[in-house]
Amino acid sequence: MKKRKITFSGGIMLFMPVVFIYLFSTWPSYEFYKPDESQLLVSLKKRTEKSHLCDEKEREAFMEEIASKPKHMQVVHRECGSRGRVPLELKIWLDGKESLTKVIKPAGLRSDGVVFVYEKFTFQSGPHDIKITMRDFKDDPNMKVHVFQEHIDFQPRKVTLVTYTPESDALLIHN
Amino acid sequence: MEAERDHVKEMPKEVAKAVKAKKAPKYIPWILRPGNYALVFVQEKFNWVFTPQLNPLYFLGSITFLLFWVALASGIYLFLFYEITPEKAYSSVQYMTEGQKYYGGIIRSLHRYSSDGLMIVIIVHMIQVFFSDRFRKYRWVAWVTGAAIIPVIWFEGVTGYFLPWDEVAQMTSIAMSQIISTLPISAEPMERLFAHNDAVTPLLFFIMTYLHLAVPCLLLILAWVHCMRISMPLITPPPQITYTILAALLVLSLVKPAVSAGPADLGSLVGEVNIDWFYLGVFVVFDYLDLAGGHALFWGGVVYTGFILLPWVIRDPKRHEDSIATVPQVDVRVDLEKCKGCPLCQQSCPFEAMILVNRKDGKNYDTQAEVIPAHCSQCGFCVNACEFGAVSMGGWNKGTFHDFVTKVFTPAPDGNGESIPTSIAFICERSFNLEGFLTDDCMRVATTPDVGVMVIPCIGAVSPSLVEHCFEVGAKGVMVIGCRGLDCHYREERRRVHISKEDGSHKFMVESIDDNRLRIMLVSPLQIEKIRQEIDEFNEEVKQGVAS
Ligand code: HEM
Ligand code: SF4
Ligand code: SF4
Repeated sequence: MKKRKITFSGGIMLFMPVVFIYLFSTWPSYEFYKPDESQLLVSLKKRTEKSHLCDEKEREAFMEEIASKPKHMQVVHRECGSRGRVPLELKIWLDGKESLTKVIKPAGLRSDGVVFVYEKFTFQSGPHDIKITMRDFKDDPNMKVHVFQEHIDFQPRKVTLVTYTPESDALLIHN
Repeated sequence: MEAERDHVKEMPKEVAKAVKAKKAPKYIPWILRPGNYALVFVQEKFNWVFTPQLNPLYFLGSITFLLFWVALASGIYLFLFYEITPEKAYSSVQYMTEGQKYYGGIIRSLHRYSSDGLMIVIIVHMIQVFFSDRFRKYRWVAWVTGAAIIPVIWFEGVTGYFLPWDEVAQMTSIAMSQIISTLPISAEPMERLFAHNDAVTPLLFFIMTYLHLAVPCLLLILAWVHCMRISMPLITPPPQITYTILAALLVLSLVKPAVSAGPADLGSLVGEVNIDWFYLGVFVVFDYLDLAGGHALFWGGVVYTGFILLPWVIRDPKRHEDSIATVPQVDVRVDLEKCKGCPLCQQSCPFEAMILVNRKDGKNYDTQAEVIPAHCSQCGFCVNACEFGAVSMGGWNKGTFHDFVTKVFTPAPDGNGESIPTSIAFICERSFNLEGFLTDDCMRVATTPDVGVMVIPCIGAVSPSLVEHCFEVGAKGVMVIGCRGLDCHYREERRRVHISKEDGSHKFMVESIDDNRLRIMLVSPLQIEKIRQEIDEFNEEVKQGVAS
């Protein structure tokens, strides 16, 4: 068999994958969000309370125990109480309708880390009533409840981020 | 050539006939047969157009390497101008695309399109090795590493689409982190890295760039392991194919330069964007079906892993009972009494299964040959490659091969001259379904009884000295019938020791052999009718040639 030059049809066959790439490297395009959609994003992290806090007596015993240890073993950061922390309860209302209720466990095998929240809601842009409440999930009537309640005019294709910082100790819109 | 083209025109009919008559080569497991027929059919079409020497379907592995080098070289250039920060990434890529339209821009396009091509080619490569039944047993290392390469290349593409930090990158990062978050890896949802523009740090860009540079190194290692058990792997395509592909990529880059979408802004939602379906299509599917990415990916992974494990599920069809091979496929042995430690058998082995080790039996040679049974395909190449008859398979070695040929051409005691076969055909059992093709004793071609036959595992086992021997003991013609080079299950094309005249490797041939009396027929596995015809014609030719 002689070696033959690539023929015309061969050229076409070789260019088939090229046409394939030509097309599918960009086409068809896809619309991830419609022009009139908006998004509410709640993204935050919060350190909740320990699930067991010491009372006076326990604290005294704890301090004594620490004091009895040699100096180099007196861990400065240790606090009295359990390692584990309580979950966080999060509730979100959109236009008065309860859209999310979630009790989120802290990170870590012993639940001793922070609680992470990442929730998003996509809806028609325009004015909406948003209410978010957040509290450490504990059987304690005095526990502080963080409330975010606002009437927001959501701009088309914009993301409104609500977050929490320990400094402000409040739920706020991130600018 | 024209005859061959006509023949390919007949392919649909022939495939249909072969399917009906169950004429597939018996060694293909039944579950692969429909795909195998289709593959042979398509390959034959391509052979018709390109000739087997330039059929791109025979060079998919090497084309993959070529595309990889193009992506690597273009990537190095892009890296020189890329700025690894969230603020400057977009504009630095934009500068190459617009500011250096005719070099940076083209190089960026080459980078993108070679990566897209890579995805297409590896998938076709995978389909091909699967349906040609070249992924099991002694090939499992290539199969498993190859299968691991696909997700790695995909991941490389995804990190690549992060870097320009445009809207596509924004979509990719959020979608990808959504998937990762559903996997039990970290408590912090990864999407939080993309919650707002200030959350995206230079460190993240550094990590992504680092990954995009590190993954190719991993790919090179995987590709090396991929080819480890394949001797003389074909890693560069023929120049004609190389230049055509490079030209095609260049044309594509000029006609449709790769561009970015608008800059990423995490305060906004991504609207309509152009999608590179080869890499990002999966995110669109997830978005469209509203799938929880992690679970879909997990189950996809389970199915894919099952697919990778198929070599251990798909078994050989029962064959040993009804094998008609003269030479059986059993364990290969080396007789150290005869072995001189020359590298002939090692050089002939297509799967790195024959190795030379330090001499252990005290004989005065440096090395000795040793078979690694798990790597060995029992192709028999080494059996005739050993000039000293030290390698044997089922009792067959160089000496017994020669004795067999002598016997074929020795007249029966009561015989007249007529019964002596005029020619001998070496046919490989692996490639053709020889049912009904031979006489009952499997010694002659049924339709041309004066052609003697030796059925062997693969024609790569036919050595020049064996051919010479045939002529010495009275053969008027010798036919060697097997698969067209790169169709050969045992990669015979890549072994230079056999007598092939097509790749010009005459060096082992003794000059005295008359070209007209040796015919090498390389045909498709379904062309058994054509073989019959050609054997008949050739036999007539040599008979007349010798008579005149
Ligand atoms: C970066 C991607 C890849 C490259 C560069 C590559 C390259 C190659 C090369 C050069 C060969 C040797 C061909 C020969 O000389 O006979 C080969 C064989 C092989 N490849 Fe790949 N390959 C890639 C991906 C894959 C994938 C995704 C699979 C499938 C899961 C795969 C499965 C195989 C198998 C089973 C063989 C052995 C076939 C034989 O021995 O004839 N490869 N590959
Ligand atoms: S070809 Fe024969 S003599 Fe040479 S190393 Fe192999 S077995 Fe030994
Ligand atoms: S039979 Fe084939 S695969 Fe096995 S050692 Fe010999 S040449 Fe290598």
